[in-house]
Amino acid sequence: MATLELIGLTKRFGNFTAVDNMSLKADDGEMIALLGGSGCGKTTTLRMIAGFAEPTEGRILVDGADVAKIPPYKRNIGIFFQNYALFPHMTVFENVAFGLKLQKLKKPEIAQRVADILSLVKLTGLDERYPRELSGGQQQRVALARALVTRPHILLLDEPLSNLDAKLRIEMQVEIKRIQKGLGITTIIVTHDHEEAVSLADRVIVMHEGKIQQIGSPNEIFERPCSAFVADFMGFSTFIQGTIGPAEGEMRPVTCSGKLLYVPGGAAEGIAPGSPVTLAIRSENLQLVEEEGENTLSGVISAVTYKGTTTRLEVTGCVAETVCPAVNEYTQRQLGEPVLVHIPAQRICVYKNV
Amino acid sequence: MREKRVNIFSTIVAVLVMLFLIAPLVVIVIASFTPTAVVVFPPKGFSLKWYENIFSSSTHFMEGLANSLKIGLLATLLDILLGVTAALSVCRHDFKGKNALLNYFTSPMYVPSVAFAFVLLQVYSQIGGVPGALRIFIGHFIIILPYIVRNTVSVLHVFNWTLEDAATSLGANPVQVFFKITIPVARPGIVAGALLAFLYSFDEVALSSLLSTPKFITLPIRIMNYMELTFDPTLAAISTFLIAGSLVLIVLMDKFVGLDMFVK
Amino acid sequence: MRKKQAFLLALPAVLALTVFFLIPMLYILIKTLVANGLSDFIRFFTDPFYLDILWTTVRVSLVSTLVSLLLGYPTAYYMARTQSRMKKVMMVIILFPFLVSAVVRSYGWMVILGKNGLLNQLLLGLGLIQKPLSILNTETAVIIGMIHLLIPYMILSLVGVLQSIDPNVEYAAYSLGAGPAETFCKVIFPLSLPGIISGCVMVFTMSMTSYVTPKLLGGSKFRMMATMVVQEINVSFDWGAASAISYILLAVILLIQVLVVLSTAGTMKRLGGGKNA
Repeated sequence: MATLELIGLTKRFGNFTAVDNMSLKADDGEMIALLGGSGCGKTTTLRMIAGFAEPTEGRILVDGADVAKIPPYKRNIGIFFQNYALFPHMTVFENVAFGLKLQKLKKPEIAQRVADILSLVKLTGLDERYPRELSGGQQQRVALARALVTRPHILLLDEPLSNLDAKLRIEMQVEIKRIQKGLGITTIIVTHDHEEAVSLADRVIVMHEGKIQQIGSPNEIFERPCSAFVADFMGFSTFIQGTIGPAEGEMRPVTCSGKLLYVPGGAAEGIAPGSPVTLAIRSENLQLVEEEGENTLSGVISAVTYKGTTTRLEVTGCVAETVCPAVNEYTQRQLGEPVLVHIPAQRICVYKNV
Repeated sequence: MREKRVNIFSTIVAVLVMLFLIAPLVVIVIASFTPTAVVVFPPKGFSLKWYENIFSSSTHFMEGLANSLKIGLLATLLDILLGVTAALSVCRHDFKGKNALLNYFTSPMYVPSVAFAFVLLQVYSQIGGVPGALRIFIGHFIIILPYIVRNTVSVLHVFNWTLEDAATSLGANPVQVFFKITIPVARPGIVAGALLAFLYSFDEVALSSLLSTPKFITLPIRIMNYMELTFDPTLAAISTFLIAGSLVLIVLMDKFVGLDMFVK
Repeated sequence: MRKKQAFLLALPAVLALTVFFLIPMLYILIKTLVANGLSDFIRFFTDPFYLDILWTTVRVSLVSTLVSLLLGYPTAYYMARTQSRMKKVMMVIILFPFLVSAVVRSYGWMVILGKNGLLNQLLLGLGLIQKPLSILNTETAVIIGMIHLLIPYMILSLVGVLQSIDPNVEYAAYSLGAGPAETFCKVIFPLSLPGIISGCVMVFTMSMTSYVTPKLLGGSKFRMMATMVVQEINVSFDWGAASAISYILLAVILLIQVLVVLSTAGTMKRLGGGKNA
C-alpha cells in the first residue's frame, strides 16, 4: 500500500558508523530482506524506519513523503518484534485490538477486524487467552496479527522466524508469504539467516558493517554472490585460493596448490592475469565422479556427516584447503577413502583477493 | 517425581524458627482475652473488656490511629509519585552516573532514623512554627522513599522495554504508553513497595518520638506511652488489632501481587 | 530527547531528597562542627560511659546477626528447596511478623519474659526453677527480641539467593563424585555467599540503629546508641552528645556499606532493608 525509499541513510554513534549511506527503494507490495550478521546495521536501519532512532543523515520517504518529522506513534508502520513484545497483562483480543482502540474505532468494527485478522493467522477462538498461556508459535501469530490489523502502510519484521523450531519455521514461512502477498503490504524483513531471507523475500540486500554489499533477487545472491564475504554468508562452504592466468579461449586457468582449475572467462572479468583470487563453490554443486577429467581433483575423505537429506563430506589432500562436497544420498563412503571431486566450471564464483 | 532436596536438620531448624516467630504473637492474642489485669497462663476466663478499653479516650489509641493513617497514606502516595518516576529514570534510560543516582534515591535507607530525626529537629527549631503533623510527615516521606524505589526498580529491571516500542508503533503516544503499558506491568513492584513503605511509616517510632508534638502523636508512641503508665492487656487488645490488620494486608498482597515480591 | 526525559523523570525525587534530606543533613553537620568543633566527638571517645554504649551496641548487633544467620540459613535452605504445600503457609509465617510493628512484637516478648511472664510461669509450674528468672530488662531479652525482629530479613535475603542457584549445578557436582556435605561446602555455600553478606549487613545495620527493641526490652538501665540519642535530647538536653552519637552511628553504618561495596563490586546491587528495630 505504499512505497518505501531510503536515501543516503546514515547513523553514527560518536565515532562508530552503524549505517553508512544506505539507499534502497521498495516498490508497493514488495518484500525486501535486510540480511547480515549481528552488528551489520540492519536492526538500526529498521529502527530508523520505525522512528525509534533518528538518522544522522539521509532521508526516509514513505509514498514519497519524508517521515523525519513524524513521531513513531504517528507513522502507521506495523512492527513485528523478535521477542514478540506481547502485552502480558492483556488478552490476545486486547493485544490485537490495542492499535484499533487508539484509532478510536467503534466497538463492533474493532471486534470484526480482530476476528478477521485472527482467522487470517489461523488463531480463531483464542481471544481470551493471555500470552503466557500460548505456545511460541501461537504467540508469534498474535504478534503478526497485532502488527497487521491496523492496516499499516509498511510492515517491518525483525527476525520473524528465529525463535521457532524447524517444523514451525517451514510452516510460518509459507504463512507469512501468503499473508504478505494476500494483503499486498510493502514489507522489510531483518534477518541473519540466509535461508529465511531467500525463502521469503522478493529481493535480498546483504549488509555488512553498515554498508550494502549486494542487492539482488534471492537466486542471484544465492548463486552469484558478489564477494567472498557474501558467498561465505550465503553458505558457500568451499573456498580455494589460487592465481589466475590469462584467457585460454572462453576459459581461464587458475593455479591452486599446483593443480589447475578452469573458470569461465565471464566469471573473472576484469581480473588481471597473475592476480591472487579466491574460488568459491557451493557444496551441492560439487560432484563425486569415477574418472579423472578437467576440473577434477583427487583427495581423501577426512570427515563424513550424515544430515538426512544429504551427506556432507570433507575431502583433503587435493588442494591446500578442505573441499566440502555434499552428496544426495546415503553414501557408504568411509573415512580415508580416496575420491575424485569434480568442480563444474560454470558453478565457480571467482573473487579477486584484496 | 522430583527428588527431595532437603535434609532433616534444616527441616527441624525451620520448624523451630517458625514457632519462635509465631510465639509472641499467639501469646498476645490469647492474652487479649484474659479477664485479669495481669496476664496469667492459662487464662482464667474470657473477657472483651480490654477491647472496649481501646476506644476509650484515655488511651488516645483511636486518635493515634487516625494520625498514623493520615501520615502513612499521604507519605506513601507522595512517594509513589516520586519513587516511580525516579525508578523509571534509572531503569529505562542509560547514562553515566545512573548507579550513583540510584544510590542517591535510596540513600535515606543508610541513615539511622534517629540521626535524621535529630537533624530535622534542629532545623525545625531554627525555622520555628512547624506544625507537628508536618514535622513528622517530612521525616516519614523521606525515609520510606527507598522502599518504593527499590521494589519498583526490581520490577523494571526485568521489564521488557520493547513493549513500549510495540505500543508506540501501534499508535500510542508517550503518555498513553506510560499509563496503558508501563505502569500496569510494573504494578506488582509498585504495590509491594507501597505496602512496605506504608507499614514502615505506620510502625515508625524513633523519628516520630523525637518529632511529635503534644498535639500530634502517632499510634505506636501512644502505645508505648500507655505501656509506661499501665501495663495491662489493653495493650494486648490493640496489638491483636494490629496483628489482624497485618494478616489482612498479607492476604491481600498474596491475592493481588503474590508473595514472591518480597523474596528479592 | 531521551536524556531530557530521564532528567525530567528524576527531577521530582532529586529535588525532594536534596531539599528535605541532603541539605538539612549537611547544614546541621557543618553548623555543629563550626559551633562546637570536635569537642563532642572527643568527649564521646574519651568517656568510658559512651564507649561502653558503643561496645554494647556493637556486641548486641554482632550476636544477633550471628544467631540470625545460624538459625536463618537452615530455614532459608528448607524454604528454598521444599516441595511441600506448606511452603505458602511458611512464607506467610515468615512474612507476617515482618509486617507487625516492633512495638507489638516487643510487647509480646515482655509478656513472655517478664517476672510474671509466661516463661517463668511455665518453668516454675514445671518445677524446673525455684525463683523467677529475671530475663526482661537485660541484654539477653534485647538480643532475643532483636533476633525475632531480624530473622525474617535474613531468611528472605537468603531464600532469594538460594532459589536462584541452578539445581543442575548440584546434580553436576554429584555426578562428578561429590557427596551432599561436600557439595554444600564447595558449591551451594559459596554461591549463596552474596545473600549471606547482604543479609548480614542489612541485619547488622538494623540492629545497630534499633530503638524500640532495646527501649522496651532492655529497661531504663540498658542503653544502645539509638536510645541514647533520644535520651540525650529529651531527658538530658545534651544536644552536643546527641549530635556526636548520631554522627558516629551514621559513620559506622556508612563505613560498613563502603566496605561491602568495595569487596563485592556489584552493579544494581540488592539493597538493604528497613530500620524499625
